Amino acid sequence: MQQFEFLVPRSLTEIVELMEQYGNNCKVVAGGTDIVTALRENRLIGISKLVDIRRCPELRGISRSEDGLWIGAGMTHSEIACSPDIKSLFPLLVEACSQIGSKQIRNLATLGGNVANASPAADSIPALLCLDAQVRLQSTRSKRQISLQSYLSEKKQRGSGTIGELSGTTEELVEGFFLPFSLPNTQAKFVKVARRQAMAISRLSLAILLHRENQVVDRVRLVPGAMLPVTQRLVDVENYLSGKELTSEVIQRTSQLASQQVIMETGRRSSFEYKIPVLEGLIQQVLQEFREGD
Amino acid sequence: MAKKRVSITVNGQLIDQEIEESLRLIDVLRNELFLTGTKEGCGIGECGACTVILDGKTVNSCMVLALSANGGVVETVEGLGTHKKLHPVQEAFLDNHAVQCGFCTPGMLMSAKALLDENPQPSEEEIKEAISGNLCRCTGYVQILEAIKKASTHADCQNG
Repeated sequence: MQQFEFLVPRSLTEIVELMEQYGNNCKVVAGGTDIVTALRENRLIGISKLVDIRRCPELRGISRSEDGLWIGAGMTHSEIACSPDIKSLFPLLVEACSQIGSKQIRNLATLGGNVANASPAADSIPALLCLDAQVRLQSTRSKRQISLQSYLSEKKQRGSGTIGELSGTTEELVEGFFLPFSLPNTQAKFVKVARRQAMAISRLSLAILLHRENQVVDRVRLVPGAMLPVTQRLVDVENYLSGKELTSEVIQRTSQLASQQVIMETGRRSSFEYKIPVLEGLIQQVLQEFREGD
Repeated sequence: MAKKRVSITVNGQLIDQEIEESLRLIDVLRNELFLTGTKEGCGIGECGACTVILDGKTVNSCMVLALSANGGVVETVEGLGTHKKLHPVQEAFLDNHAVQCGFCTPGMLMSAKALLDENPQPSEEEIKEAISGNLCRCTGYVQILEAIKKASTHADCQNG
Protein backbone atom coordinates (compact mmCIF):
# COMPACT_ATOMS: atom_id res chain seq x y z
CA MET A 1 0.00 0.00 0.00
CA GLN A 2 1.24 3.39 -1.03
CA GLN A 3 2.01 5.74 1.89
CA PHE A 4 0.43 9.16 2.22
CA GLU A 5 -0.59 11.85 4.66
CA PHE A 6 -4.32 12.02 5.28
CA LEU A 7 -5.68 15.55 5.56
CA VAL A 8 -9.18 16.35 6.76
CA PRO A 9 -10.12 19.93 5.89
CA ARG A 10 -13.08 21.42 7.71
CA SER A 11 -14.52 23.57 4.95
CA LEU A 12 -14.69 24.04 1.21
CA THR A 13 -12.29 26.97 1.46
CA GLU A 14 -9.78 24.81 3.28
CA ILE A 15 -10.14 22.04 0.66
CA VAL A 16 -9.29 24.33 -2.26
CA GLU A 17 -6.43 25.89 -0.28
CA LEU A 18 -4.91 22.46 0.29
CA MET A 19 -5.38 21.62 -3.40
CA GLU A 20 -3.57 24.82 -4.31
CA GLN A 21 -0.81 24.23 -1.78
CA TYR A 22 -0.03 20.65 -2.75
CA GLY A 23 -0.97 20.72 -6.46
CA ASN A 24 -0.04 17.52 -8.25
CA ASN A 25 1.13 15.90 -5.03
CA CYS A 26 -2.36 15.64 -3.62
CA LYS A 27 -5.54 13.85 -4.50
CA VAL A 28 -9.03 14.62 -3.30
CA VAL A 29 -10.77 11.53 -1.93
CA ALA A 30 -14.50 11.22 -1.32
CA GLY A 31 -15.98 7.70 -1.49
CA GLY A 32 -12.53 6.26 -2.16
CA THR A 33 -13.74 3.40 -4.35
CA ASP A 34 -11.35 4.31 -7.16
CA ILE A 35 -8.57 5.83 -5.09
CA VAL A 36 -8.16 3.21 -2.36
CA THR A 37 -7.66 0.40 -4.88
CA ALA A 38 -5.25 2.61 -6.87
CA LEU A 39 -3.27 3.31 -3.68
CA ARG A 40 -3.16 -0.36 -2.88
CA GLU A 41 -1.63 -1.04 -6.27
CA ASN A 42 0.80 1.92 -5.89
CA ARG A 43 -0.69 3.53 -8.97
CA LEU A 44 -0.96 7.12 -7.70
CA ILE A 45 2.54 8.11 -8.64
CA GLY A 46 3.79 11.26 -6.91
CA ILE A 47 0.79 11.52 -4.61
CA SER A 48 1.81 12.08 -0.99
CA LYS A 49 -1.30 13.80 0.41
CA LEU A 50 -4.92 12.76 0.42
CA VAL A 51 -7.51 15.44 1.01
CA ASP A 52 -10.59 13.82 2.54
CA ILE A 53 -13.83 15.51 1.49
CA ARG A 54 -16.22 12.68 2.42
CA ARG A 55 -18.01 14.51 5.15
CA CYS A 56 -17.67 18.13 3.99
CA PRO A 57 -21.18 19.51 4.59
CA GLU A 58 -20.90 22.06 1.79
CA LEU A 59 -20.54 19.25 -0.77
CA ARG A 60 -23.63 17.44 0.40
CA GLY A 61 -27.34 17.89 -0.12
CA ILE A 62 -29.95 18.03 -2.84
CA SER A 63 -32.00 21.19 -3.19
CA ARG A 64 -34.63 22.54 -5.55
CA SER A 65 -34.53 26.03 -6.91
CA GLU A 66 -36.87 27.86 -9.28
CA ASP A 67 -35.34 26.46 -12.42
CA GLY A 68 -33.74 23.20 -11.44
CA LEU A 69 -32.11 20.93 -8.91
CA TRP A 70 -28.75 21.18 -7.21
CA ILE A 71 -26.88 17.99 -6.27
CA GLY A 72 -23.81 18.26 -4.07
CA ALA A 73 -20.75 16.44 -5.45
CA GLY A 74 -20.42 14.47 -2.19
CA MET A 75 -23.80 12.75 -2.55
CA THR A 76 -23.45 8.99 -2.95
CA HIS A 77 -25.08 7.03 -5.75
CA SER A 78 -27.36 5.38 -3.17
CA GLU A 79 -28.46 8.73 -1.80
CA ILE A 80 -29.21 9.97 -5.31
CA ALA A 81 -31.09 6.81 -6.26
CA CYS A 82 -33.22 7.10 -3.10
CA SER A 83 -33.90 10.83 -3.27
CA PRO A 84 -37.64 11.51 -3.76
CA ASP A 85 -36.84 14.72 -5.67
CA ILE A 86 -34.50 13.01 -8.11
CA LYS A 87 -36.88 10.05 -8.48
CA SER A 88 -39.71 12.32 -9.50
CA LEU A 89 -37.77 14.90 -11.54
CA PHE A 90 -34.90 12.95 -13.08
CA PRO A 91 -35.67 9.20 -13.08
CA LEU A 92 -33.00 8.83 -15.79
CA LEU A 93 -30.30 9.71 -13.26
CA VAL A 94 -31.79 7.24 -10.78
CA GLU A 95 -31.63 4.50 -13.44
CA ALA A 96 -27.96 5.23 -14.11
CA CYS A 97 -26.89 5.66 -10.48
CA SER A 98 -28.65 2.51 -9.31
CA GLN A 99 -26.77 0.40 -11.86
CA ILE A 100 -23.30 1.46 -10.75
CA GLY A 101 -21.20 -1.17 -8.96
CA SER A 102 -22.86 -2.99 -6.09
CA LYS A 103 -24.91 -1.75 -3.15
CA GLN A 104 -21.68 -1.51 -1.13
CA ILE A 105 -20.01 0.63 -3.79
CA ARG A 106 -23.06 2.84 -4.34
CA ASN A 107 -23.12 3.51 -0.58
CA LEU A 108 -19.58 4.92 -0.81
CA ALA A 109 -19.02 6.26 -4.31
CA THR A 110 -20.09 9.83 -4.99
CA LEU A 111 -21.50 11.50 -8.09
CA GLY A 112 -18.67 14.05 -7.95
CA GLY A 113 -16.12 11.24 -7.94
CA ASN A 114 -17.73 9.46 -10.89
CA VAL A 115 -17.65 12.65 -12.95
CA ALA A 116 -14.25 13.96 -11.78
CA ASN A 117 -12.66 10.59 -12.49
CA ALA A 118 -14.26 10.96 -15.96
CA SER A 119 -13.80 7.39 -17.08
CA PRO A 120 -15.33 6.87 -20.53
CA ALA A 121 -17.26 4.05 -18.85
CA ALA A 122 -18.66 6.18 -16.01
CA ASP A 123 -22.38 5.40 -15.90
CA SER A 124 -23.65 8.69 -14.52
CA ILE A 125 -22.14 10.74 -17.34
CA PRO A 126 -24.43 9.75 -20.26
CA ALA A 127 -27.46 10.42 -18.05
CA LEU A 128 -26.11 13.77 -16.83
CA LEU A 129 -25.30 14.84 -20.41
CA CYS A 130 -28.86 14.01 -21.49
CA LEU A 131 -30.10 16.17 -18.63
CA ASP A 132 -27.94 19.16 -19.70
CA ALA A 133 -26.08 19.09 -16.37
CA GLN A 134 -23.90 22.00 -15.37
CA VAL A 135 -20.84 21.46 -13.18
CA ARG A 136 -19.90 24.00 -10.52
CA LEU A 137 -16.16 24.22 -9.98
CA GLN A 138 -14.15 25.99 -7.38
CA SER A 139 -10.51 26.85 -6.84
CA THR A 140 -8.74 29.42 -4.71
CA ARG A 141 -8.81 31.74 -7.70
CA SER A 142 -12.25 31.28 -9.18
CA LYS A 143 -15.71 29.85 -9.05
CA ARG A 144 -17.43 28.91 -12.27
CA GLN A 145 -20.29 26.87 -13.62
CA ILE A 146 -19.86 25.20 -17.01
CA SER A 147 -21.65 22.52 -18.98
CA LEU A 148 -20.64 18.98 -18.16
CA GLN A 149 -19.65 18.54 -21.82
CA SER A 150 -17.18 21.44 -21.58
CA TYR A 151 -15.83 20.09 -18.31
CA LEU A 152 -15.17 16.67 -19.88
CA SER A 153 -13.52 18.18 -22.95
CA GLU A 154 -11.29 20.43 -20.82
CA LYS A 155 -10.25 17.46 -18.74
CA LYS A 156 -9.41 15.47 -21.84
CA GLN A 157 -7.40 18.36 -23.24
CA ARG A 158 -5.38 18.55 -20.04
CA GLY A 159 -4.47 14.95 -20.74
CA SER A 160 -6.27 13.51 -17.77
CA GLY A 161 -8.90 10.85 -17.56
CA THR A 162 -6.42 8.13 -16.78
CA ILE A 163 -6.17 6.48 -13.41
CA GLY A 164 -2.84 8.21 -12.78
CA GLU A 165 -4.63 11.51 -12.84
CA LEU A 166 -7.79 10.63 -11.03
CA SER A 167 -10.22 13.37 -10.08
CA GLY A 168 -10.01 17.07 -10.56
CA THR A 169 -7.45 17.70 -7.89
CA THR A 170 -4.82 19.55 -9.87
CA GLU A 171 -6.88 22.68 -10.27
CA GLU A 172 -10.52 22.82 -9.42
CA LEU A 173 -12.80 20.99 -7.07
CA VAL A 174 -16.14 19.73 -8.39
CA GLU A 175 -18.59 21.28 -5.96
CA GLY A 176 -21.78 19.90 -7.44
CA PHE A 177 -24.20 19.72 -10.32
CA PHE A 178 -27.10 21.81 -11.49
CA LEU A 179 -29.83 20.06 -13.48
CA PRO A 180 -32.40 22.28 -15.20
CA PHE A 181 -35.98 20.97 -15.00
CA SER A 182 -37.04 18.81 -17.96
CA LEU A 183 -40.18 19.53 -19.96
CA PRO A 184 -43.27 17.66 -18.77
CA ASN A 185 -43.89 14.33 -20.55
CA THR A 186 -40.23 13.85 -21.35
CA GLN A 187 -39.32 10.21 -21.99
CA ALA A 188 -35.91 8.98 -20.90
CA LYS A 189 -34.07 5.69 -20.58
CA PHE A 190 -30.63 4.44 -19.50
CA VAL A 191 -29.46 0.99 -20.59
CA LYS A 192 -26.23 -0.68 -19.59
CA VAL A 193 -24.53 -3.72 -21.06
CA ALA A 194 -21.87 -5.38 -18.93
CA ARG A 195 -20.43 -8.81 -18.28
CA ARG A 196 -22.93 -9.37 -15.52
CA GLN A 197 -25.75 -7.40 -13.98
CA ALA A 198 -24.11 -6.32 -10.75
CA MET A 199 -20.68 -4.89 -10.15
CA ALA A 200 -19.40 -4.90 -13.70
CA ILE A 201 -17.99 -1.87 -15.47
CA SER A 202 -20.04 -0.92 -18.52
CA ARG A 203 -19.01 -2.43 -21.80
CA LEU A 204 -21.44 -0.06 -23.35
CA SER A 205 -24.28 2.08 -22.15
CA LEU A 206 -26.86 4.34 -23.69
CA ALA A 207 -28.91 7.22 -22.40
CA ILE A 208 -31.68 8.75 -24.49
CA LEU A 209 -34.01 11.59 -23.58
CA LEU A 210 -36.87 12.53 -25.86
CA HIS A 211 -39.73 15.00 -25.91
CA ARG A 212 -42.43 15.09 -28.56
CA GLU A 213 -45.15 17.58 -29.32
CA ASN A 214 -48.02 16.14 -31.41
CA GLN A 215 -45.87 13.07 -32.15
CA VAL A 216 -43.04 15.20 -33.53
CA VAL A 217 -39.67 15.11 -31.75
CA ASP A 218 -38.85 18.60 -30.53
CA ARG A 219 -36.10 17.79 -28.03
CA VAL A 220 -33.72 14.87 -28.01
CA ARG A 221 -30.49 13.86 -26.35
CA LEU A 222 -28.63 10.69 -27.29
CA VAL A 223 -25.42 9.68 -25.50
CA PRO A 224 -23.62 6.35 -25.78
CA GLY A 225 -21.33 5.47 -22.86
CA ALA A 226 -18.01 3.59 -22.96
CA MET A 227 -17.67 4.04 -26.71
CA LEU A 228 -15.93 7.39 -27.18
CA PRO A 229 -12.71 8.70 -25.58
CA VAL A 230 -14.75 11.60 -24.18
CA THR A 231 -18.39 10.70 -23.62
CA GLN A 232 -20.50 13.08 -25.66
CA ARG A 233 -23.90 13.71 -27.18
CA LEU A 234 -24.27 12.51 -30.77
CA VAL A 235 -25.43 15.91 -31.96
CA ASP A 236 -25.74 15.00 -35.66
CA VAL A 237 -28.04 12.14 -34.75
CA GLU A 238 -30.07 14.40 -32.49
CA ASN A 239 -30.40 16.92 -35.34
CA TYR A 240 -31.60 14.19 -37.70
CA LEU A 241 -34.24 13.05 -35.23
CA SER A 242 -35.53 16.54 -34.42
CA GLY A 243 -38.70 17.46 -36.24
CA LYS A 244 -39.48 13.86 -37.16
CA GLU A 245 -42.05 11.34 -36.03
CA LEU A 246 -40.82 8.05 -34.58
CA THR A 247 -41.60 5.79 -37.53
CA SER A 248 -39.86 2.44 -38.03
CA GLU A 249 -37.75 3.94 -40.81
CA VAL A 250 -36.69 6.91 -38.69
CA ILE A 251 -35.76 4.64 -35.79
CA GLN A 252 -33.73 2.41 -38.09
CA ARG A 253 -31.95 5.38 -39.68
CA THR A 254 -31.23 6.95 -36.26
CA SER A 255 -29.43 3.82 -35.08
CA GLN A 256 -27.37 3.66 -38.29
CA LEU A 257 -26.40 7.33 -38.05
CA ALA A 258 -25.38 6.83 -34.43
CA SER A 259 -23.00 4.00 -35.27
CA GLN A 260 -21.61 5.98 -38.20
CA GLN A 261 -20.94 8.97 -35.96
CA VAL A 262 -19.25 6.83 -33.31
CA ILE A 263 -16.98 5.25 -35.93
CA MET A 264 -16.22 8.67 -37.40
CA GLU A 265 -15.20 10.00 -33.95
CA THR A 266 -12.99 7.13 -32.89
CA GLY A 267 -12.05 5.12 -35.93
CA ARG A 268 -12.90 1.45 -36.08
CA ARG A 269 -11.89 -0.32 -32.90
CA SER A 270 -11.59 -4.04 -32.45
CA SER A 271 -14.39 -4.03 -29.87
CA PHE A 272 -16.76 -2.43 -32.38
CA GLU A 273 -17.57 -5.68 -34.09
CA TYR A 274 -19.55 -6.39 -30.94
CA LYS A 275 -20.39 -2.88 -29.78
CA ILE A 276 -21.77 -1.35 -32.98
CA PRO A 277 -24.59 -3.86 -33.58
CA VAL A 278 -25.39 -3.74 -29.86
CA LEU A 279 -25.56 0.06 -29.90
CA GLU A 280 -27.82 0.00 -32.95
CA GLY A 281 -30.03 -2.63 -31.34
CA LEU A 282 -30.30 -0.69 -28.08
CA ILE A 283 -31.19 2.56 -29.83
CA GLN A 284 -33.91 0.82 -31.82
CA GLN A 285 -35.22 -0.91 -28.72
CA VAL A 286 -35.38 2.27 -26.63
CA LEU A 287 -36.96 4.40 -29.36
CA GLN A 288 -39.48 1.65 -30.07
CA GLU A 289 -40.37 1.61 -26.37
CA PHE A 290 -40.85 5.37 -26.42
CA ARG A 291 -43.05 5.04 -29.49
CA GLU A 292 -45.18 2.35 -27.88
CA GLY A 293 -45.37 4.38 -24.68
CA ASP A 294 -47.64 6.93 -26.36
CA MET B 1 5.44 5.78 9.60
CA ALA B 2 3.10 8.63 10.48
CA LYS B 3 0.23 7.79 12.77
CA LYS B 4 -3.05 9.54 13.39
CA ARG B 5 -5.75 9.11 15.99
CA VAL B 6 -8.98 7.46 14.91
CA SER B 7 -12.13 7.09 16.88
CA ILE B 8 -14.65 4.52 15.65
CA THR B 9 -17.47 2.69 17.39
CA VAL B 10 -17.16 -0.98 16.51
CA ASN B 11 -19.97 -3.30 17.54
CA GLY B 12 -21.04 -0.82 20.20
CA GLN B 13 -17.58 -0.30 21.64
CA LEU B 14 -15.71 2.96 21.18
CA ILE B 15 -12.25 2.39 19.75
CA ASP B 16 -9.91 5.34 20.07
CA GLN B 17 -6.34 4.72 19.04
CA GLU B 18 -3.42 5.80 16.91
CA ILE B 19 -3.18 4.05 13.57
CA GLU B 20 -1.01 4.26 10.48
CA GLU B 21 -2.55 6.60 7.94
CA SER B 22 -2.48 4.10 5.12
CA LEU B 23 -4.58 1.47 6.90
CA ARG B 24 -7.93 0.54 5.45
CA LEU B 25 -10.93 -0.18 7.63
CA ILE B 26 -10.46 -3.93 7.05
CA ASP B 27 -6.83 -3.71 8.23
CA VAL B 28 -7.89 -2.07 11.47
CA LEU B 29 -10.70 -4.55 12.05
CA ARG B 30 -8.61 -7.63 11.38
CA ASN B 31 -5.09 -6.68 12.43
CA GLU B 32 -5.57 -4.10 15.15
CA LEU B 33 -8.84 -5.25 16.73
CA PHE B 34 -8.47 -8.96 15.83
CA LEU B 35 -12.01 -9.07 14.48
CA THR B 36 -11.10 -11.66 11.87
CA GLY B 37 -14.69 -12.56 11.00
CA THR B 38 -14.55 -9.97 8.23
CA LYS B 39 -12.68 -11.56 5.33
CA GLU B 40 -10.55 -10.06 2.62
CA GLY B 41 -11.17 -11.71 -0.74
CA CYS B 42 -10.30 -9.66 -3.80
CA GLY B 43 -9.24 -6.44 -2.07
CA ILE B 44 -10.72 -4.35 -4.88
CA GLY B 45 -14.39 -4.19 -3.97
CA GLU B 46 -15.56 -6.95 -6.30
CA CYS B 47 -16.34 -9.88 -4.04
CA GLY B 48 -18.03 -8.42 -0.96
CA ALA B 49 -16.34 -10.79 1.52
CA CYS B 50 -15.19 -7.73 3.48
CA THR B 51 -18.70 -6.21 3.75
CA VAL B 52 -19.38 -4.42 7.02
CA ILE B 53 -22.05 -1.90 7.98
CA LEU B 54 -20.77 1.68 8.32
CA ASP B 55 -23.24 4.23 9.66
CA GLY B 56 -26.14 1.95 8.75
CA LYS B 57 -25.00 1.21 5.19
CA THR B 58 -23.08 -1.75 3.81
CA VAL B 59 -19.63 -0.92 2.48
CA ASN B 60 -16.61 -2.86 1.26
CA SER B 61 -14.19 -2.39 4.16
CA CYS B 62 -11.29 -2.93 1.71
CA MET B 63 -12.24 0.33 -0.04
CA VAL B 64 -12.58 2.54 3.02
CA LEU B 65 -9.56 4.21 4.56
CA ALA B 66 -9.79 3.77 8.31
CA LEU B 67 -9.24 7.49 8.88
CA SER B 68 -12.13 8.36 6.61
CA ALA B 69 -14.39 6.27 8.86
CA ASN B 70 -13.36 8.44 11.81
CA GLY B 71 -16.36 9.16 14.04
CA GLY B 72 -18.35 6.41 12.34
CA VAL B 73 -20.29 3.44 13.68
CA VAL B 74 -19.20 0.06 12.35
CA GLU B 75 -20.98 -3.25 12.66
CA THR B 76 -19.15 -6.48 11.84
CA VAL B 77 -20.24 -10.11 11.92
CA GLU B 78 -18.86 -10.41 15.46
CA GLY B 79 -21.51 -7.94 16.62
CA LEU B 80 -24.44 -9.75 15.02
CA GLY B 81 -25.30 -12.27 17.70
CA THR B 82 -23.77 -14.16 20.59
CA HIS B 83 -22.93 -17.85 20.89
CA LYS B 84 -26.03 -18.23 23.06
CA LYS B 85 -28.34 -16.15 20.92
CA LEU B 86 -27.64 -15.96 17.25
CA HIS B 87 -29.04 -13.18 15.11
CA PRO B 88 -32.09 -14.36 13.09
CA VAL B 89 -30.10 -14.19 9.82
CA GLN B 90 -27.38 -16.38 11.33
CA GLU B 91 -29.95 -18.89 12.51
CA ALA B 92 -31.64 -18.88 9.12
CA PHE B 93 -28.31 -19.43 7.34
CA LEU B 94 -27.70 -22.49 9.53
CA ASP B 95 -31.23 -23.84 9.13
CA ASN B 96 -31.16 -23.44 5.35
CA HIS B 97 -27.67 -24.83 4.76
CA ALA B 98 -26.61 -21.47 3.35
CA VAL B 99 -22.97 -22.00 4.32
CA GLN B 100 -20.51 -24.24 2.51
CA CYS B 101 -16.90 -23.06 2.76
CA GLY B 102 -18.01 -20.06 4.79
CA PHE B 103 -15.69 -17.44 3.34
CA CYS B 104 -18.46 -15.30 1.87
CA THR B 105 -20.75 -15.85 4.86
CA PRO B 106 -19.76 -12.89 7.09
CA GLY B 107 -20.22 -10.49 4.17
CA MET B 108 -23.47 -12.14 3.11
CA LEU B 109 -24.78 -11.92 6.68
CA MET B 110 -23.97 -8.20 6.89
CA SER B 111 -25.64 -7.48 3.54
CA ALA B 112 -28.68 -9.48 4.68
CA LYS B 113 -28.76 -7.73 8.05
CA ALA B 114 -28.57 -4.26 6.48
CA LEU B 115 -31.34 -5.19 4.04
CA LEU B 116 -33.66 -6.46 6.77
CA ASP B 117 -32.94 -3.44 8.99
CA GLU B 118 -34.05 -1.19 6.14
CA ASN B 119 -36.72 -3.37 4.61
CA PRO B 120 -37.98 -6.08 6.98
CA GLN B 121 -40.06 -7.85 4.33
CA PRO B 122 -38.08 -7.75 1.09
CA SER B 123 -39.21 -9.35 -2.15
CA GLU B 124 -37.04 -12.01 -3.79
CA GLU B 125 -35.78 -9.39 -6.27
CA GLU B 126 -34.86 -7.03 -3.43
CA ILE B 127 -32.92 -9.81 -1.70
CA LYS B 128 -31.05 -10.62 -4.91
CA GLU B 129 -30.22 -6.97 -5.39
CA ALA B 130 -29.01 -6.63 -1.79
CA ILE B 131 -26.55 -9.53 -2.12
CA SER B 132 -25.51 -8.81 -5.71
CA GLY B 133 -22.23 -7.35 -4.46
CA ASN B 134 -21.40 -10.55 -2.54
CA LEU B 135 -19.89 -13.43 -4.47
CA CYS B 136 -20.28 -17.03 -3.34
CA ARG B 137 -17.92 -19.43 -5.09
CA CYS B 138 -19.61 -22.53 -3.70
CA THR B 139 -22.69 -21.52 -5.70
CA GLY B 140 -24.96 -21.53 -2.72
CA TYR B 141 -27.10 -18.58 -3.77
CA VAL B 142 -30.41 -20.46 -3.67
CA GLN B 143 -29.93 -21.48 -0.07
CA ILE B 144 -28.74 -17.99 0.87
CA LEU B 145 -31.82 -16.49 -0.77
CA GLU B 146 -34.05 -18.95 1.10
CA ALA B 147 -32.27 -18.16 4.35
CA ILE B 148 -32.79 -14.43 4.02
CA LYS B 149 -36.44 -15.00 3.13
CA LYS B 150 -36.80 -17.18 6.22
CA ALA B 151 -35.06 -14.60 8.41
CA SER B 152 -37.47 -11.95 7.19
CA THR B 153 -40.35 -13.90 8.71
CA HIS B 154 -38.63 -13.93 12.09
CA ALA B 155 -40.33 -11.72 14.65
CA ASP B 156 -37.05 -10.11 15.79
CA CYS B 157 -36.32 -8.96 12.28
CA GLN B 158 -39.79 -7.63 11.76
CA ASN B 159 -39.42 -5.56 14.91
CA GLY B 160 -36.23 -4.14 13.47
